[in-house]
Amino acid sequence: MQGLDVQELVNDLDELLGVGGNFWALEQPRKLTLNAPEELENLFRDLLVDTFGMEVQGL
Amino acid sequence: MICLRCAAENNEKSEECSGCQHPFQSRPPVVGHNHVSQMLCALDDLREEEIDLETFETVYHAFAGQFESFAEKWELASQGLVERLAHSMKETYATPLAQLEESLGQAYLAFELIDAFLEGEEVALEEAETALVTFFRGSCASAARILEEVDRAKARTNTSRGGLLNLPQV
Repeated sequence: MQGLDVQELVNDLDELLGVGGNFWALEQPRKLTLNAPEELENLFRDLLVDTFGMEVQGL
Repeated sequence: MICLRCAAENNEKSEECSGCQHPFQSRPPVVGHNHVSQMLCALDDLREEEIDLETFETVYHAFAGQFESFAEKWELASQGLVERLAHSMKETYATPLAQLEESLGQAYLAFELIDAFLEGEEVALEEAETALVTFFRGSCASAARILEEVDRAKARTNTSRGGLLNLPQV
């Protein structure tokens, strides 16, 4: 049985909301630590995508 | 992002619609211009009598139509999203998907309230506004969590040297 395609679901949700992939603008507050690679990714997403308005592949 | 008034395609950073020149306004607590911010602005304008009912209905039906397409494609009425996850993915994705399902419920609530209002019932439109904001918040939060997990899964797959790893394919 084929499972749920979560990537496609989120892509369609993006289209419904019209947020251009920017789901991080209004999420639950994150602890602002840099203890893991993912948190570094969050930092650069906030800076490059949200603040600078850049489109960065993978962010 | 489309303009809910004229259906023209726009960039999320556009300040006005490329089709009808209607200005896109920021609408806290929603960040940026998107379909939900347009809906909230329409509710504000309706309450303040800055737009007529027909204009509001145009915006509302455009958004509701988008939601209906989403709901039909993902068969929301027939089965829960969490139930449809492959077993190997449940541990990782069940919680954010459950959050998304709850958020989608708030959208249905907003539509019920607005439909009742349009049928002439006494409805506090502030409740529809709250439901839409809750829908937006929960959807974005769950989508962000899901995408982060998807990225992690892809990174693990990319670093895999092959073998019999049972990683979820997303």
